[in-house]
Amino acid sequence: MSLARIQEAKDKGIILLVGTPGAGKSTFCQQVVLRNVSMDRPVILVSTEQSPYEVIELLRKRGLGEKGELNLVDAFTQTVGLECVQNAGVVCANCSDLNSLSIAITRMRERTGQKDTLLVLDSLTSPYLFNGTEIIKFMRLFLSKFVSEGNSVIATIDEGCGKQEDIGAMMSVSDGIMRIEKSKSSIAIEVIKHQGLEPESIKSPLEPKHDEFKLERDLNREFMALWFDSLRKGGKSLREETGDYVNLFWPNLAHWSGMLWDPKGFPKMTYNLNRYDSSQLREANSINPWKMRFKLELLFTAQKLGLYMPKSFSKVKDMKMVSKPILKNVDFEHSGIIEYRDDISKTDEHYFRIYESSDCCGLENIGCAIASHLPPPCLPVSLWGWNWMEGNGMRWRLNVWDWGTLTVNLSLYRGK
Amino acid sequence: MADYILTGIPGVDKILGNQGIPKGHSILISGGPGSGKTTFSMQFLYTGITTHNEAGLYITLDEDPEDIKKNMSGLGWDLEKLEKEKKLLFINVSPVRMDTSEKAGLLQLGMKEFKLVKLLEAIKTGINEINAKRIVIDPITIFTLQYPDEIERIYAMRDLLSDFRKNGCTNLLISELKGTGIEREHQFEEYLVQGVILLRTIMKDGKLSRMFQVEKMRRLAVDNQPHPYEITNNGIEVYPDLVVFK
Repeated sequence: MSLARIQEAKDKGIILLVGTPGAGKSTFCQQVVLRNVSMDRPVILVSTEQSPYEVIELLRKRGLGEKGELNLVDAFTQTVGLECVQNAGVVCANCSDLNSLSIAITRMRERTGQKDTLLVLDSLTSPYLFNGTEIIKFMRLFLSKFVSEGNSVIATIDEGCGKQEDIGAMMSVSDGIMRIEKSKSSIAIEVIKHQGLEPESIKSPLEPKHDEFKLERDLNREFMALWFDSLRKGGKSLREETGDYVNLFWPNLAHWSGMLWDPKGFPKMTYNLNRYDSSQLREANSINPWKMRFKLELLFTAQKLGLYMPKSFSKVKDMKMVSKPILKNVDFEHSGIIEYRDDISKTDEHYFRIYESSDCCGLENIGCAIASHLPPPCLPVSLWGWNWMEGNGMRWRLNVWDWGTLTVNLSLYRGK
Repeated sequence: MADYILTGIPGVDKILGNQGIPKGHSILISGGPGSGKTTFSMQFLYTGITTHNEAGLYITLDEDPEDIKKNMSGLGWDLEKLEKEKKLLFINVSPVRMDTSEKAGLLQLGMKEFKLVKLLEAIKTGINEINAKRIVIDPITIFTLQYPDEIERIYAMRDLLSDFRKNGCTNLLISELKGTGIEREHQFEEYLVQGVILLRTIMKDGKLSRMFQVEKMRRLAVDNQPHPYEITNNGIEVYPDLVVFK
């Protein structure tokens, strides 16, 4: 069983996540939020311990797109006595009053107006500290009802924040219980009770984080040679443990979600979410050489006019066709998409397999980031320096894929 | 088929069995200070006018209609316009304040000797002027205060209510709620009217909770449980699916 399975398990119930402070409950919740947002599932995040700005910033760092729809119930600002500003994505609540909390969640639910909403409540600690055992009533009379309407709830609680019997009661009104435990050398997530999963424990050693890529330090000839070698068929991967095939979820041609299934190493690496649209690429394009800029602008315009995007392209067989040239052009084993899974793909849900250490524009947080921490090749090339690249016997070839608004893929090839 | 009128206030009609208030009934709206009684009543009239095309009469016994209008202006309702269209009428029959100045579109019946007859007269005027279907009397407490003797008070109230029955209008009578706790004494008006809606604010451990409760509604199977409500920028919003937490 993988962490992904836990995070994706669609249970109509209240899942209580128990753990000591700092064990990783909030990190887990954020991953759950991102994972579900990427699958276009409506998510309501109730934040009682952090301000919405902090939460959004953290989620953005972890990959929430600029336009990533997030429905936030800010149960922090008012609770600490500050003025909370409501807007389209934020509803305010005071977690010292369970009525205000239930009203805020209901309002947000009405706003999204969708079924199968996931409510992530991080955490129940403050509401519990303010309201005592009334929180159990809240779980039974409000959360359980919310669940019975076809939604799911994940709530966290600090272990040891109150009386043992209260936490016990909270556990008994929950449909599932998970515990996160952190020791000096490892972190473990244990499934104690879960409708959809067998009781099991996932343990992962705590490792020092990979160094971030530093342009001036790491971009030298020796390193680049190693890196390119690592991408080639049969080449040695820069990171020992890479090499799993992972599925890329691609909801439609207009945007994709770089969200991977089955990442094994929690919490060493969390896979990030990307949503691409041409505006980002257009911005990046502004500092390209003029010829390239012109070509790209033509393409953007054509896309806007709908010239490259037949509607039928969302069909499975068309998607397979679209992915063919990608597969054909990949001359590095570790590069990009290696398979289109038409057996499990649906019209509005497409699955690709990519090599885990792949280096592919738009997958920078997935492939190369964990493999080598290199900046993706779609970064403005001027940053890298054309002369430097040419001098190293490398040649950039511009590959233009007409994939709706997503669109432009710069692939890297070794010059002959 | 019995006729009902929808209040149009979010959440309230669901509590009233999705039917609303039985037509012609007099309902007591009881609540403490700042509980939103006036907002509730105004919302009742406003939605009556705007969505059901039923003219509304607002009889004030205490507050100056101008003040009420000012206070309601934040909710984005253009009351002046409705007044001009003869859909809404304010009548000030305050027995306490003497204000002889005649304001445009406002009927002044201010007087010291204020009794049942005068109130009935005001209602009659309102019905004749704009063909009102919904009436609010804010607050009925001032009226009952005119009768220090309890027996007399009950009779006056009964007379008022029986007159209401004749005119076919649906009425909201606003009253001050005595005792804000869970336990409270019932006021005699509650026994006489056909429906009682409580807007309660409860303070516990420095927290304010608001709860909406339909205590009584004749001719209707209603949800009698308290439910939380809020006073928002759009008026009162009741959450019929939520329970009140202490």
